Amino acid sequence: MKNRFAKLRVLGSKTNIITITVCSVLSAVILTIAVSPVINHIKIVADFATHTALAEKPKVDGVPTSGEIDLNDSGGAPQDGEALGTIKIAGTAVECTLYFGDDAPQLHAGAGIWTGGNIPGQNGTVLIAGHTNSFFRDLESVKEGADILVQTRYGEYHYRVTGTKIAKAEDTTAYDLDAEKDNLILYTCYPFGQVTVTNQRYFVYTEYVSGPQIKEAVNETK
Amino acid sequence: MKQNKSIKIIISLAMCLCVAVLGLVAAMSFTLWNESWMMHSMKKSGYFEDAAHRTKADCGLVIAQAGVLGNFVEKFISDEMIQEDIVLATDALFRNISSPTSSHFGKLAVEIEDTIYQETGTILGESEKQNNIAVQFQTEQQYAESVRPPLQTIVSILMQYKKIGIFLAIASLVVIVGATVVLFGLSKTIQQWIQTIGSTVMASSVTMFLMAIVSMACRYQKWMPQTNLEYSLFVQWFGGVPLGLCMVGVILLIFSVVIFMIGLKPEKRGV
Repeated sequence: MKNRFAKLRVLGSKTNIITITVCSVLSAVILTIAVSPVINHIKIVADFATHTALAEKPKVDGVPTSGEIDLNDSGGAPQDGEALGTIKIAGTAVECTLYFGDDAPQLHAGAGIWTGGNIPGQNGTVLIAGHTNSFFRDLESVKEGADILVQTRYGEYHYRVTGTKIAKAEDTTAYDLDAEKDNLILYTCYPFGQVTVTNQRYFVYTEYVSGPQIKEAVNETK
Repeated sequence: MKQNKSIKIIISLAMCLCVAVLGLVAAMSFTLWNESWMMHSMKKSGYFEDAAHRTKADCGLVIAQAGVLGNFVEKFISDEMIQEDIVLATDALFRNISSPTSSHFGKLAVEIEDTIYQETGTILGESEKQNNIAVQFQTEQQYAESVRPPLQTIVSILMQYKKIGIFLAIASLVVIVGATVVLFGLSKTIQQWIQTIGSTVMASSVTMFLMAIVSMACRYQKWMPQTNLEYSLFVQWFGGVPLGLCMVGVILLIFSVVIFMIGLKPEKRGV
């Protein structure tokens, strides 16, 4: 056994160590130089790769739930098409991303706030639309008194359902955009689940329960 | 004597380089050039789930932007279908054959017409039918785009180098055999010859470990924007390179120790 270990010392002889070190380092350098054009090529392609992800989910954790806030402290006024937060209606399957804007791309991906109105926390009516055959299909199950949770990147809001109504699409008395109290009005096409555009709308009315108020000196969103 | 030593070192270096090239080609053959490694990476990084979600969203958006409301996408495609099409397209990429075409939205226009008729009793006019056919075509185009193989350009680049790699591997084998013969001529004893080969192979294993360190140090995790849907897949897939190099390094190290142990056996002398 001792002999074997003594012989193994040949492995660690000066000649061997020099040979191994010199050969390995030189080989590594030569190979690295040889493959570096390929690596650079891949690096350039990877950098320019398309296929961007769908809009990132808005970060709504740890936001204020009361008091006064300044929108500038949380990214400024919302931009058109921005994923502002999420909306969830208790007792229903309605839970989706809430966008600022109600064009086709936003309504295809969630619910959309009309940009001509207010946003939660602005002491006015927030008009929110959703497709009847996707995200707002289960507005049908909304009950009076149900809680609506709206989580945005600047604050968390709770609203309570106060009523529902079916009205014609062109009936402007179905919603009050001049109200001076924070409230949500959700609406969708009626009958529920229709593929074709209908001339009736289903409205859900709410009242404010809690959430931070946006300081008046803040950015315009209209 | 000194000249012999220098020649020995040069030949050892050449042999070490060639063994390292063989090792690199072996590592690539088990990872980046290997379709199974890509499939494993796609499963592990959750690419199939992301691709299914993206495909449905993109196809649905095409239909929605054409003014057609309704969730038609789910009636024509499923997660399993999307995964299968991606697998087939990836297979075609690695085999360098044309991708099979899949047409799942062939009845979209008819489905839209039927649904509208069911809900409103309206029979569409010619221009509306043409519009629906255009929507069908665009949705099929979008689907084909969405299920294309991931990292297509990068894989195509690497597959081009596969032929060069195979050629280099064969050339390296020839050099290794030649170097072994020359080293035999330059060695005083068989033991010395075997030990020289053993130390050369060990040097190659160290080269593999050094290359693995270099591949980690090049920070491939930062090459692709993190917002890219293929980011996780790329990191998982390309991460096979340092792993493959280390495994080859370990195999060469074991091989070199075995060679050394053989070289340490005393030569049998005649009685």
